[in-house]
Amino acid sequence: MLRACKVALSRIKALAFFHHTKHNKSMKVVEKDKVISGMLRDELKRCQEMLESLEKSISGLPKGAMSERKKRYMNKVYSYYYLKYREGEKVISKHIPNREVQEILKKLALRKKYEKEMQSYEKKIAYLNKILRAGKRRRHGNIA
Amino acid sequence: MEISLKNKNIFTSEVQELLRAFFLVGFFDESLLIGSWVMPLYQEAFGISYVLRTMDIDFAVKFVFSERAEKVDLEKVITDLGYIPVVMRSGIRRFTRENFTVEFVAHRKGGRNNQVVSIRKWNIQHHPFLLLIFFSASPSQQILETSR
Repeated sequence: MLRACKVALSRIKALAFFHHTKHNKSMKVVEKDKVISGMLRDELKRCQEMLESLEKSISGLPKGAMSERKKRYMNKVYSYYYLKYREGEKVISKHIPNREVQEILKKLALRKKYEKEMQSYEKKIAYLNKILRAGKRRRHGNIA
Repeated sequence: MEISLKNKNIFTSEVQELLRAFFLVGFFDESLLIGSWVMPLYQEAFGISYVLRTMDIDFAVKFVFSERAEKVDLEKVITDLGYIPVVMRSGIRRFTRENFTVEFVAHRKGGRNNQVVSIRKWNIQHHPFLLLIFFSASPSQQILETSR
């Protein structure tokens, strides 16, 4: 009986020891330092605001890709431009008048830039969320 | 105050190219760099240690000498560097490239009016910011050897 108690006590001590090491030595800077976690939250907010505004900006730009169709008529070749884009499961091909082609191409290029920028913000938001969530989880672990 | 620094690598390459472009169009005659990105200069010149850097760079527009003077399309200068304009919810226009944003602010003389103000001469919009005058009261001018 005494021996069993001693074993149990040593296990509890070992657990207490591990608990201590887990929550102090390997604790991340984010959860230890309020200044750093505050900065990360500010950065997250900035990125979310930027992403929201980028989404709004991109909504006014055309999507898809421009394609050219050539047709021969009376020994002459005519070019017709179409904007191909997806709407749900449908692929839509919209005719673009020649005078608007350059403007649409410019807008498509700009959309690509916006999409690339949005991706970089999404990546950053995911990264910041991961760090901040991890810090939160550990803090809750401490309380329990 | 004018200070001359020998170290040409105070800023990251993207900040350096932005400052150079603004300097070449004379933007710093009427405005100044503020916020965390001015600290590397102070660190180099005065030995002040400051480690934090943010992902946005702020410029305070202090004076506009004349609206009739030659206009400079600063938006074009920035977009030529690969930045894209983004209109924020507040109405202010920021510029972003790879998570790095450029923003303009100016002193708000009083009241509570936070409305975005346009500077036609520079083709930019700035955010009125209370007490900004303290930043621009006695600015230091750094000679960028690389930009001359």
